[in-house]
Amino acid sequence: MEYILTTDSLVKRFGGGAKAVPALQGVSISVKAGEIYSLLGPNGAGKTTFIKCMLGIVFPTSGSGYIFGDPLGSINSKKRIGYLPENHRYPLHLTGEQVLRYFGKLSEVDPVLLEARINETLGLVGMNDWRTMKVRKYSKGMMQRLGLAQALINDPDLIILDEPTDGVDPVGRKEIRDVLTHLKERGKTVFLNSHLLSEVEQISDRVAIMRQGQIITEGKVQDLTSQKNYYEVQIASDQFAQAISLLSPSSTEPEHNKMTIVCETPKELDAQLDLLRSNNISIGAVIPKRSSLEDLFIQLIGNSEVQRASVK
Amino acid sequence: MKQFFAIIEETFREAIAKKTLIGFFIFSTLIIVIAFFVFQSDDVRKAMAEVQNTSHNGNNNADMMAAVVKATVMDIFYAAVSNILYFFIICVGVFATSGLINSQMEKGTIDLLLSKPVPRWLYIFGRYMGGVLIIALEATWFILGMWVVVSTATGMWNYGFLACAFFITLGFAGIYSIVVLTAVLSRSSALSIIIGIGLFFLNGLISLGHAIETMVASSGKSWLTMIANILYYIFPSNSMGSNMGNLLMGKSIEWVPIFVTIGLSGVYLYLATLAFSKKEF
Repeated sequence: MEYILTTDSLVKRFGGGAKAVPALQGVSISVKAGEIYSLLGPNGAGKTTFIKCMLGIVFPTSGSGYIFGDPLGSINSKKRIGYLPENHRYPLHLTGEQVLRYFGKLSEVDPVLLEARINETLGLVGMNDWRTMKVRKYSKGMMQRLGLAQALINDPDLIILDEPTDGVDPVGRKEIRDVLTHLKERGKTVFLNSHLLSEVEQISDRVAIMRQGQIITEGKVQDLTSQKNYYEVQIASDQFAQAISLLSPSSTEPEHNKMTIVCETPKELDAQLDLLRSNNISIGAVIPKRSSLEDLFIQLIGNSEVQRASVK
Repeated sequence: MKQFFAIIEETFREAIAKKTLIGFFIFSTLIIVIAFFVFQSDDVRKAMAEVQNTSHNGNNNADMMAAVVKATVMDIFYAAVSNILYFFIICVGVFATSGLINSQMEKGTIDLLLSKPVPRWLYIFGRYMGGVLIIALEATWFILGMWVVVSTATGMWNYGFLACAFFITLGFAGIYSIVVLTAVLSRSSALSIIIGIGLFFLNGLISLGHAIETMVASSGKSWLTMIANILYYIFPSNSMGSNMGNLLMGKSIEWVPIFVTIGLSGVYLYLATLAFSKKEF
C-alpha cells in the first residue's frame, strides 16, 4: 500500500535556549492512501502543531516529512491537500459561495470547473440554501460545513481536518461523518484530528494517540480496542452466586447477572465453561470483551491529564 | 497570475466592505462638488472675469504680460491644489489601507491562506498592489474631478495636473511599503499607521533639509549634510510634492527621487515578503 504522508522524527520547539517549549518530540507516522487516519490526544499534546508542520504554517526544528513525495509545506503537495483548521475564520463580508470562489482560485481550480465544484461541495455539505447569505450570519455549525466545503473545493487527495465536528449538533455530526465515509469510498485519504473519541472510533481505520509531543500508541482501531483474553459470561440470576464461587471472576455486574473472566488460552476458557456446565449452571452468553477507544485513551493518557485537558 | 488577481480582488472587496473605498470616494466627490460651487460663485467669477479683461485691453505687450501673470497664477494654484491633495490622499490612504495586511494575518484566517498552494510572498505583494491600486483609483478620481472643475471655470487646461495622480500614487506606494513591512513585523495596524504617517511628515522635513543641504554644506557643518543625505536616500517618496510643482510650473522633473522611491519601495516590500516567509503562525 502506498504511503502518501510520512514523517520521520519530526521535532518542533517553540522559543530557544532554556525556555524552549517542546511541542513535537520526534513524531514519525505513515499514512496510507485511501484510509482515515486519526490523531488523538489531550489539549496541548501537539496535534495542531503537527498539522501546521505538515502544511508549512510552522517549520520543524528537525526531522523530515513528505506528502505525495514532496517535502512538507511545499507548494506541490498543497495542490493536492484540503485543510479545515480549528477555529477557522472567513472574510465576514463574503457570502458562502464567494468564500468558495476565493479559496478555489487560490487553490488553482480550473475556472471552467470552479462553479461546478462550488455547486458540488455546497450540495455535499448541505449548504446550498445558504450559499448567498453573508458568512457573518452563519451559525457555528454552518461555518463548519462551509469549512468542509472549502477543504474539498480543489477535489483534494488528502483532506486534513482539525476538529471538524466542533460546535456541530448531533445531526450535523452524523452528516459530516457520512461525508468523510463518502470521501473514503472515493479513494480519498482523510487525516483527522479530533477529541470526539466515539466518532473517531466509528470512522477511522487507524489511530495514533499523542501525548506531550510524542506518539504513544498507533494502530488499527479494532486492534487497539480489543481486550485480549477478557470474556463476559452471562449466568441465570438464581445461579449467579454459585458461579462466582466457582470461577473467581475479575469483575462482576450482579444487577445484570454478568461477570468478566480472564483466560490466557482458548483451552482455559473451555475448562472454565466446562466447570460451570458440570455444576449444572446455565450459560446465557459468552462474549469476547472489547473496550472503547475512550477507555484506551484514558488508560494511556491518564485520568489526571484527561481532567486537566477538559478543564482547559 | 490567477492567484494574484484573486488576492487583489479580495483586497478590493475588503476595502468596499470596510467602507474605506466608498468613504474615500464620497469625501473626494464632496470636495469636488464644493470646489465646483466655489468656482461658480459670483466673487470668483468676477475675479476671473477681471483677469480675462486685463488680458484683452488692446495693448499687445500688456496682453502678453497679463496672460503670463494669469498662467503663472494658475500654475501656482494648481501646484498648491496638487500638494494639498497629495497630503490629504496619502494621510487618509495610510489610514484606509494599513488594516489590509493585518486582516489576512488574523488567527483562523492565516492558517487557511497558508494551506493553499500560494507562495507566501504573493499574499504580501498582492495585498500591497491592491492597496496601491485603491489609492491610484481614488487619486485619479480626485485629480480628474478637480481638474475638470478648475479648468472649466478658468478656461486653462493644464494637462500636467493629471500627471499628479501618478506622483501621488508613487508617493503613497513608497510610504505604504514601509507600512506593510511594519505590519508584517509587528502585526499591529496601529503601529503601522503611526509609522506610516510619522514617516510621511518626516519626509517633508527631509525634503526641506535636502533643499537647504547646499547652504548647510557651505557653512561647514558636513555631518548635517551627511545625515540629510542618508535620510534622503533611506526613505522613499521624497520630493514628490516639489516634482508636482515642477511639472505644473513647466520646469524639468527630478528623476532621482522617482527612481529612489521605486527602488526603496521594492527593497522594503522585499524585506516584508522575506519576514512574512519566515514567520510562523
